[in-house]
Amino acid sequence: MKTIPTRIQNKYSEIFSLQPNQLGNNRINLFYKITTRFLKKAPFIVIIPVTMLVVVLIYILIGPLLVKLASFLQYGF
Amino acid sequence: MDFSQYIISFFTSLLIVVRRFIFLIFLPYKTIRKISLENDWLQAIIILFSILIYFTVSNKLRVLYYSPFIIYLVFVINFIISTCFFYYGAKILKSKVNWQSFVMTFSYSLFPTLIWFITSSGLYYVLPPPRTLSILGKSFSILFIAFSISLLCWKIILMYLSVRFSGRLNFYRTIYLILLYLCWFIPYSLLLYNMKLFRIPFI
Repeated sequence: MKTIPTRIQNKYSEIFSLQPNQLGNNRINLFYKITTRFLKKAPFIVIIPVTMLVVVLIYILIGPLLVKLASFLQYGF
Repeated sequence: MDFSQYIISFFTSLLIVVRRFIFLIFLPYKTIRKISLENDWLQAIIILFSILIYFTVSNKLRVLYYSPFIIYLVFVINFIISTCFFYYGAKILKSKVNWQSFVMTFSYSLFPTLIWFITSSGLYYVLPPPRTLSILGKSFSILFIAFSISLLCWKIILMYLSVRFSGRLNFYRTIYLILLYLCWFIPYSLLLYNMKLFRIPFI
């Protein structure tokens, strides 16, 4: 069994295996951190409502084409 | 290593694959970071083998133009080309990278694709297309497209994290490499579509 210091050491080396992203500007860095925070943990909490909203909007815009797209995708496997 | 140890290591890897699949849903960032440091080939083999099972079963639902084994072979070639592309791309941009890390992360990022293909096959059997313009047809279309886009978003997140952690690249270089990949992969996918190998590319 691994001792606690070894486990902590392994965890630290895993966390610090890669440098944090620096996008060249503090404002862009802040925007990136805020945006990606929602995608790092349980992204579906954000993704599902947003995609539902987007698809309903697409349906309002293109209507029957969406139904054709669904049929095309169903043949896609 | 004797036979019983092979069996034990197989089931251990299978359990890890199932566990990580669940973790990829809830904690994609941490899970891909962990996978990128993994060196157990058996996990990648299990995932790639499950895709072979999928192609064989889907051939029963709808007869494919080619044998499922040929399609699987094309998929494996695609997979190797993709991992090699990102490996050499990352190697040019940053020297210390490991091809095994790319194989591990890319095989795990096949999960959204596999789920989408399994669901589409199931729905093809339960609710065969084409969809109609009735209320039920429209509702199904909206739900199916929303489901597909959600899985696509998950796929993009996993793909980005795979390239970032395996290639040890920063944001701009990761995006640059993915765009370069799409530059040749989109025409290549169209070629596969015209050859009736894949309607939707299995990546």
